[in-house]
Amino acid sequence: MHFEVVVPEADEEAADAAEIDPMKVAIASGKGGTGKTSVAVALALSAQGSVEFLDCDVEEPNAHFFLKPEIRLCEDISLEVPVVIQERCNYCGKCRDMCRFNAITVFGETIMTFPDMCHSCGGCFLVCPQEALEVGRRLIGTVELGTTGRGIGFVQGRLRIGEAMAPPLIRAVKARSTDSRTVIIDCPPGTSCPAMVAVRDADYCLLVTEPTPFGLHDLKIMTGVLKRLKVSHGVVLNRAGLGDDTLEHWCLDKGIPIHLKIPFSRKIAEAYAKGIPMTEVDKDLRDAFTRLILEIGK
Amino acid sequence: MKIAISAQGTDMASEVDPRFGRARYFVIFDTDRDRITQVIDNQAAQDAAHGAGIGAATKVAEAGAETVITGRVGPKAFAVLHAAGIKIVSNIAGRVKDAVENFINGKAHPADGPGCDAHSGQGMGMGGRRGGGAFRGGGAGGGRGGCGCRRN
Repeated sequence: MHFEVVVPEADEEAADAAEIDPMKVAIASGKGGTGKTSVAVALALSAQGSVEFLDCDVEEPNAHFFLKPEIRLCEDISLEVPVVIQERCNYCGKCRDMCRFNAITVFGETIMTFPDMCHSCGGCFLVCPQEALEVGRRLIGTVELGTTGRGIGFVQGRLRIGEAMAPPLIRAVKARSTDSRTVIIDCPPGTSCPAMVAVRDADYCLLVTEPTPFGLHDLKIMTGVLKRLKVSHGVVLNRAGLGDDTLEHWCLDKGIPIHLKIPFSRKIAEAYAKGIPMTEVDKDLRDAFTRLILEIGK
Repeated sequence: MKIAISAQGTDMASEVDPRFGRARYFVIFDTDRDRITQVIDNQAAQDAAHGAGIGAATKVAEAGAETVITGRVGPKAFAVLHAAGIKIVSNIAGRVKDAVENFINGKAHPADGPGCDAHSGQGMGMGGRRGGGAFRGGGAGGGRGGCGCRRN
């Protein structure tokens, strides 16, 4: 018996389209205030298919002002910190010697914990021979989940005021991603731990910058970091027309693509001040963002 | 009585180190024997990313000091020293020798609160992370203030 298998061309194309992997795009910057959130929001609104937005700038999440999601779930996120059971402690000091962050100390017959110094590694629980430590909790913030009117899945972290450790909360935000076809990650500024945790494991990172000495200075640091993390990246130049062309020459020299230039425009700034995304007030920009998301999808 | 002096060197001619937590050395002066009886190398605390004051205060407490003479003490170090019942004489500068003599002669008195906010000894506080962003506000934030420690 012979079977002739014929695959129609149309199906082949459909199969190709379905094969495009879900894409995680991180929007980062180095320098603060360059327009990460504006770009991230514009991208989310321009992407096709299921889209999810993760606001990982947990110290000051602000994408919600533009996307206006309806929050339906709010979770407390906390870290495990040691609490001493006084009558069991024999003041041996093993927990103190283990702790790299000086979050627990012992002298004479006194043991003290500093919960806000604790990085929740769990080492003290392991080394205590007396089982004199029990698990307490330090609230670091909340994760909020919802959906926008346009059906974009929305997750944001909100760091507790006074809390210094953003990374665990950022990880909690990312862990709640449902792996939609397009995941947009709005990252915190800077190039320290919170920014690293946010961009890590992204398929692509868009670096939003501006053509100023400050923009270039921080861009250089961030591109170095992304090379180390092996995250491919390109630049969105915001406030184009301001400053000079040093940054563009630098990108050209380093072979870093500049995907999009957003003009320094009063219209965009006025919309921003009202919580209106730039793609709503500028059709050319809307088209440009649609092209951008297709371009980085390749 | 033993006095711990934060110092940049190991003898009486050394300068008082203005930082407590990240002092280079602690010189332990025993007033009963009228001499230095111990020098604590505080390099480990100097190198610590966090909690230098807690580590330094613990060492001073373990050395049996009853009084600390230094420049400034942060809130966490203050909490540890307070828990250990150690008196703190802060805002002291100059040579270790003079600092000890002034204290013994009653010219310097213990303080009753921490002399500075957390991290002020590091030059730039936690707020520094946000630095550089014209729209993020200035970067030179002066630390995080209160210590939030808890004595168990």
